[in-house]
Amino acid sequence: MLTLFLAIENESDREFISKLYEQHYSIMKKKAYELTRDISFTDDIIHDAFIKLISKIPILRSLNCYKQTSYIVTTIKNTAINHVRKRNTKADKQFMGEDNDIAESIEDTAMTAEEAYIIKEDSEDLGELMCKLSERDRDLLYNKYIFEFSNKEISELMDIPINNIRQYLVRARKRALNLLTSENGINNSED
Amino acid sequence: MVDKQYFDMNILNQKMDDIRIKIALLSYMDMEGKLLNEENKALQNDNLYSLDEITRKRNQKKISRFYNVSKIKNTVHKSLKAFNKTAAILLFLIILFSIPMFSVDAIRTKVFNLIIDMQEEYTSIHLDSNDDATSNSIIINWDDAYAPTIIPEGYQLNSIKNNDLLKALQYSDTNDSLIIFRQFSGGGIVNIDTENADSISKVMIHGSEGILVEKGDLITISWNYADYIFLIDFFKSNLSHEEVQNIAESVNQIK
Repeated sequence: MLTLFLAIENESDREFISKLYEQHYSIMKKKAYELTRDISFTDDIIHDAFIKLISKIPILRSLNCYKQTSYIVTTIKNTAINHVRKRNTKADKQFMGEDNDIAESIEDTAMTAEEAYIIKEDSEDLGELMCKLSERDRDLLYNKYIFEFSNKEISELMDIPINNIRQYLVRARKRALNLLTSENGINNSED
Repeated sequence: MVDKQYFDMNILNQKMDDIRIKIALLSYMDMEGKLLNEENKALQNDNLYSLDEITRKRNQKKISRFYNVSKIKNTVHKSLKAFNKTAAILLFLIILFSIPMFSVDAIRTKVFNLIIDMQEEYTSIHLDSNDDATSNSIIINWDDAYAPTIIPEGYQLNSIKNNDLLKALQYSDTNDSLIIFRQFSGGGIVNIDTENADSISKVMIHGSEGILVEKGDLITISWNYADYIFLIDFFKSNLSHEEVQNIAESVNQIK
């Protein structure tokens, strides 16, 4: 009865999430693969990400198609990073410390691909300014302001010690504000 | 009360900065999303990343299942949250109403609890121990015997009874009036005939709550003290309730 009720009540939500899945499958698989380098895990990562996204349907509905894609792909990235970390922990590989953590090493690969097409495109100034941030700073701010994760969640996700996370966020915020306020930032983005 | 934060320039500036960053990130999302959508379109022709029909059907079923599980979990979670609130309120009420009951000295300090169970035809009185093993192994010792120290004139002790659970003293006078004193140990149960009683009242004897019942020619008073239940029957005694209570108060340990 409960299932039936849910089925009737939320049929449009089910269709919505299914549609998002089909529409974004290719890019999700690609991003998951870029981070894991193992095609056999990509579907699992997509499914894990969608379990999280199901609870975010109201947010996803409020976003336009571009923001939806960005939100979904970033969720995939976060899920893939978690997956890689767990996999590497199992293999007794340690990625501790700030200089050689897994998030950083993964981000380098992804950044190259993203930077490549970001540079080609014209977009709004503000968005471009955010591209000038390091991927780490952008991810920190994205997780804080868009996903509204707690410091602890960001710490776990990005493998940053919890004691340092506040400092990291303050610095990332400061760098973002510098870009947003300085004429140089704007000029550079226009160049 | 006016929130001072509304007028704190630093806080307002911080909030403004947060909004600016969020707007910039939303612009970035638009830009990134647009590029990702283009990439996605291109990838749909790539066999490695495209969604074939079999995988699509299989994965759609999975997504649908995840969706159901997620919704059921949410519903259960919300129900539990509501239930927890109700349970917390109930617990609070139970504690609230229990505090006065358990703060009564007679109840708090005694190992044995006097339970006066008012039934339709009789009142049951018994001592309930937390440890049945010890209560069943109480050995009657005359050193632990109690007896009334005040007995009205004309009464004489004419019967003594002693067993594991009961010590009894019976007094009588020439008018066939009887006073029967009984001392029950832990495992005993006392029934008092309260059906159609003329009066039933609560009394305090030696600081413990007891009961006084009058029915026809019989007045019965019962209370607990130490580890015992005491009961005194006054048959055709013509004694007032106050006198009966005084006799009960005079019950002391025989030394």
